[in-house]
Amino acid sequence: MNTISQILSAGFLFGSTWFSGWWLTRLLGVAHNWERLGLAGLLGSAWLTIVLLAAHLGLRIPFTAELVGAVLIFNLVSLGTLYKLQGGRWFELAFITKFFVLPVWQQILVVLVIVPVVLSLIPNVVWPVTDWDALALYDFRAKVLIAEGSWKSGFTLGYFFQYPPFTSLLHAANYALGFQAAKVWYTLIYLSFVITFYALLRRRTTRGVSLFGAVLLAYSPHFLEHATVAYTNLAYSAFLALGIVYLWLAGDRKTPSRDWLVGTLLVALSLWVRSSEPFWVVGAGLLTIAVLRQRSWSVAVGGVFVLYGAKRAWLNLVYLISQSPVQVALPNNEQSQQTNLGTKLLSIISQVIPVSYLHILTQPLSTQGSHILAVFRYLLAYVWPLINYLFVPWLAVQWHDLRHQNWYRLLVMNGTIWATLILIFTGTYIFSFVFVTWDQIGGSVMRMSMFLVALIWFYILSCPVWNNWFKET
Amino acid sequence: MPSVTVTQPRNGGAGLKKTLPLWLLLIFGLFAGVNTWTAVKYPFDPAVAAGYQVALILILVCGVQFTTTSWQSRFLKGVGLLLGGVALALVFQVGCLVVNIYRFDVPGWFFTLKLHRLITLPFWYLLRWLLLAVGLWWSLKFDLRPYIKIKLWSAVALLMLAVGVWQLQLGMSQLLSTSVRALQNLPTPYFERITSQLGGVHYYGWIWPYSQFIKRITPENAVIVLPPQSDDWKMEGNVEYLRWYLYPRRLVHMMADNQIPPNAEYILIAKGECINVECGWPKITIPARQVEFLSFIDRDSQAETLIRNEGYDPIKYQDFWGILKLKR
Repeated sequence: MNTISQILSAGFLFGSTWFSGWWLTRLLGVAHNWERLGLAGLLGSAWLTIVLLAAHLGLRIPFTAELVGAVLIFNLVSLGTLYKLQGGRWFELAFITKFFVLPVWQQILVVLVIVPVVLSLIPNVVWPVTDWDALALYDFRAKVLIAEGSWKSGFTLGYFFQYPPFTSLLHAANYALGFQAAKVWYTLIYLSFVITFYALLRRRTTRGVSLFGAVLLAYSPHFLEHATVAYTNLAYSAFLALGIVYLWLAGDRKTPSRDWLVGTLLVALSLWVRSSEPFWVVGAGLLTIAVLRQRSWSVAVGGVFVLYGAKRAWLNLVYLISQSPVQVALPNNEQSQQTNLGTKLLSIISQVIPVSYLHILTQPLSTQGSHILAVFRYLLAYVWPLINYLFVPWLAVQWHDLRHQNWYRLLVMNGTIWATLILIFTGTYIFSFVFVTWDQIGGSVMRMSMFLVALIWFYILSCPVWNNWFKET
Repeated sequence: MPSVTVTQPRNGGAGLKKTLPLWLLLIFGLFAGVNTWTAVKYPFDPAVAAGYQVALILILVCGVQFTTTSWQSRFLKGVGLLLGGVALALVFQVGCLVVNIYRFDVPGWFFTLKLHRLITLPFWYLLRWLLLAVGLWWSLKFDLRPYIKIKLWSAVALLMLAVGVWQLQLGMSQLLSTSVRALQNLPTPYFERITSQLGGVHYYGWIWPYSQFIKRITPENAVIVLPPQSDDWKMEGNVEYLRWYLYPRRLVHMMADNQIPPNAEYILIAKGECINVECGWPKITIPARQVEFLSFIDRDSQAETLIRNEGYDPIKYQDFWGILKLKR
């Protein structure tokens, strides 16, 4: 396919995705324009992959350019129609021109945010996918899907269904339309992440501090690196971190708001990217706080149900792809045999509490102690560097919240961060008993924990102290 | 630290306010550009890196001093803290440079002193200190006094600003160098860029021409035996990795005791990285009656050679890359 055709294909693909996401944000009731702009990329790409897979599996259509084109047009027509029925106007992007009336120093910050995004586009367009895990799994699945038209042959290949299909389907959509540069998606996800982060900060603090926060996030070394790497970690961090922030904001009110819906959706979509990590439990925990603060039983129950469903979604889809309740090489060695209610309940509980590993507690204390020390050293080597430069501001803000008795920020928001760290420690501790080579994939635990950086920055910068310390002119 | 008050500068610098963005962009562009083209990382020790960061912050702060916003009073309070930190960093660094105990009767002793490293430092390193001096001079020009009243939040804010500047400089330089390198490969056909992206044919980029060679020799339904997955055959021995390059061909390993799988049709010939074991794979002799042909590719020239009526000798071909086809 020549260059002009590729550019047109890319324009159609990314434009349709972004507009679909923009209209979706309206349908979800997202009120703020900058939030809508940021969420458009994330929600649009997630919606695209869900509809693609639904059409491919449900309607049994081979995965081809025609399928992708039809889905893109379907998204535009359906979401556009619903959008207009809700009274939306086609072009509501006039708010972007406010850039020109900003103070100069804020314009500089905006430019600083845009620069890494634009620069990340260059290697993402030029270089093919070569990242190790992408070739072994994510991009390989896209390759098979395009070559075979389906994933059925994947059952004979090991290491194929380890992770949910989000990034694989994005790559496949690219390849189906003849635009090879699949890594452009990561620039879109990166941009969406930064814009949404800014918009959420803006709800709590001044524009200047919010822009500064966006710069800090945009240039955060790990996020910047992953903007040009075809892994799932950036998308996972974006969905999870933003989802948790939405749930924070939702809980810090007297009455329920749409933030519960958006937050739950984003955390659920993080499970559409990666489902092995247990951090969705944090989202479930925040939802249960809704009961305590707002007496929102329906929000809590419905939200937890959605999250648990999202956790099981990929496994259930794998069964659907196989079209038979057979034992296949699934993550966590899940079995599809018929079980009684007790076993089913145990299975559900084990998604939250690793009951099958409780036998570890029967190990001798000296063994447990040595494992604890080893895990501590391991996390000090790989997780601490992620957050060490944030530690002093983070401590200062915790002290401020304690001094001013801002219990929601201290116990819920800050508590979420500490709970996540405890989860990481506990999970790694369990791993140390299960896998002999548990301490040889330090890069993996670092990537898994990346979303903490966004959460900690949000907690720090949303502190009310900055509103008094810094008066914008 | 003493507790004192800060006076406002005599001159708010209103005349330079309009050019402030240009100055800031110039400074950041200078650092990013220099780091891009020199590809220099933080040298030597934390004190130097800290001094460097402090210099950048002070330059930014001094630049901000040209505005007439209420930032001034807040940043003035923090600059005093920075000056103290700069002074400490300077003392520490000078101390590291000259305080060494060496045997001066040993030939070449001068080259072991850290003072020698100062003399041989590249210009960009000295440039930072020059900019620091200029920044300090600007501060004096605006009547900045080194007396401050320390407030926690100013210090915290300045620390976060330091983090931001550090990230900005690091990220910008990495992105610029990555982008420049990418653009230089634009004329190359899309997938052939893999070779360059992975470091060239004498590094991991070899996997592209090697895999394309295998694809040319073997049909799509071929079953190919790979070397064992190890540090010596990181890519060519990894089934999950190599399958991306060779799909839909089936990739398998040898059975126990180096037995060739019964359904195998081709066997890779891979020199490997020769780290933990001697070069060459497979390590077994395969007689001529079992071999249909041997095909090799030269790593330097990518010239291809086909040999028939010859068996595989692991000693003779230990430095070769290629593939052999088994007779059915």
